[in-house]
Amino acid sequence: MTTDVVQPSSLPRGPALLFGVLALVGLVTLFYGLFADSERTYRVFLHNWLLWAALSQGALVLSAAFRLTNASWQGPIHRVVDSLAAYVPLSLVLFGVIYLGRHELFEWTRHPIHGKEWWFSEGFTFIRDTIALLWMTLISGFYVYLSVRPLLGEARENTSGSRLALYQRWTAGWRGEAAERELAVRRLRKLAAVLVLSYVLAYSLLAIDLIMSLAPHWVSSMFPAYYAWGGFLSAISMTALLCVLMRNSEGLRGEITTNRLHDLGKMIFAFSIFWMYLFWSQYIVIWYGNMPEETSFILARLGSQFLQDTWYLEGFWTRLAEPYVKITLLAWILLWVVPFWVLLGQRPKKTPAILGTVAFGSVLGFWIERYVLVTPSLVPPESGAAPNTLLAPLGGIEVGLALGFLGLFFLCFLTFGHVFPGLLPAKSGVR
Amino acid sequence: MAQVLGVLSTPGGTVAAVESLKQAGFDNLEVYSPVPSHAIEHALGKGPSWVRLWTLIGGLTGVATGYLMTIWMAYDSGVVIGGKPFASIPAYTIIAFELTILFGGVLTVLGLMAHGLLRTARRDPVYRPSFSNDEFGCLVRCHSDQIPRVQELLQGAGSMEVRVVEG
Repeated sequence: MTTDVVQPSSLPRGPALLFGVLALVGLVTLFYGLFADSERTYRVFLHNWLLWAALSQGALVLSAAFRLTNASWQGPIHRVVDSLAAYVPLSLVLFGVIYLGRHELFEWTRHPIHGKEWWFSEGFTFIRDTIALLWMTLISGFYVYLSVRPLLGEARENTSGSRLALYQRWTAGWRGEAAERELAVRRLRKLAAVLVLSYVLAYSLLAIDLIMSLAPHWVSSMFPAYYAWGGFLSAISMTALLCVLMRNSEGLRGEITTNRLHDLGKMIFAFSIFWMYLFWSQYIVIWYGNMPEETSFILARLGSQFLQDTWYLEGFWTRLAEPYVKITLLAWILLWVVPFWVLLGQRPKKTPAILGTVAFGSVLGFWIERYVLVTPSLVPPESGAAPNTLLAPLGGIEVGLALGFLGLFFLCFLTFGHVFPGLLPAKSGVR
Repeated sequence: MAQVLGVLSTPGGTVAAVESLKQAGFDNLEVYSPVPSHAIEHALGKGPSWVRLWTLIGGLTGVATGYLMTIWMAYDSGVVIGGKPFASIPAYTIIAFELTILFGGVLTVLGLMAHGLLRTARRDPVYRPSFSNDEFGCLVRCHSDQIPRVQELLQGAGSMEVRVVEG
């Protein structure tokens, strides 16, 4: 039986090097891009930031959901989920870059919107967003601390160096293993509720301020929930993907059982349906109301095809060739069509290769979806610069920054596993 | 064909009994359980239930009804609403979606009744009320000269009572 304490281990050299290089590529791209084409760079930065910030915070919401529902099926998957949250503090830091690019990104910083001047003003908007992110970071840090603390007691004995100092600080006032575990369960259950509610409020606010404000005249009360839910679903997909990829790694070996894969698959399936439900609830109202200030947002993304009186087939291909349409449809296919139809049966959910592929598609789909949420507001379809094929938007800046974010995210993930080694493989003693 | 009933007190014991009987080649088994148990289901190795076929039929009927009914009604009434054409698919998707769930759900319940309730409604000489309370029953159908062997296996798995059932 594996014991639930941390075991010393070193940073896996291969992956760490790879992700380090990717992060460096991102940094170089960022500086190059700021000189070459700053507007485009900030735009790409924003949509990547929106993906990874919501993903890592959504992972902690998943962890909180496990605790709130007293779930026990997840076992060591809980530790994978907790480790994904290591990126949360970094998303606060990187938010600074968005602040620097505010004049390139947000039209309203230069021309205040009539009737919304007080809500979208440089000071108020960015201060409230920073406070929201700061609060999320603090509460997430506290959550992870409480979650990890009971596991460090025994680990203090066989560790050394800087890690020992950290462990000692984090286990100050040690009450003994059993008491610590019991206390952690009680405290974390309360904190989990606070974390989930804070996430919903904070990320809804970010959706309004960072995405909706790009098209400042567009209104949809459904959109903030839709974005926040996307963060949660992307975290589940990422968890499933990592569990499939790491199922034979040290410690997780033998723990990613068929039943657990089945459960992960069920989660992606169910929550992807709910994502579609949210999207549809928003779309049907806008389609039916047919008011210009509402339809403009969807028209810029799905094209005129989807705001016709009905789905006539005549002119289908020419309408499909309108800017952004194919990209938007690809995101929809990856986020709902594929997960729904592929994961409908029991066997695909239990097959690692199929589940992993669908989960990867879902994460990729969210990357594309965030692009679709941001870009058409800043590069309108009628501007001529808007892409109308699938690969047209991919330039050096897009690829470089995306790889950079990927590298940074997984560097955080690996570092968490380095500082608290053995947490990933450990059995979930603390629930 | 003879029938032998073993009465057991735990789900684990029931699983063990089923497994040992299967290993010995007795495949014609029936289990009475007061609680649903995946372990027992798994040990019995029976395929998925036919009830889900009813769900599929209900769902497909529902989605077809939802679209056809609304489109027919719109053409029949001939009133243009909101400038939309009569066959206005997006709006009718909601009706179709909900009828899918309604018909699927109702037919699932009816299917459950057809496959479950109607069967137990026949007089079952083996069933006893304790099988719905705290006891498990394992019924084996076998050739009459295999009775001693079955009795031995059921005893070995920890049955509280083993008896040969008439009929």
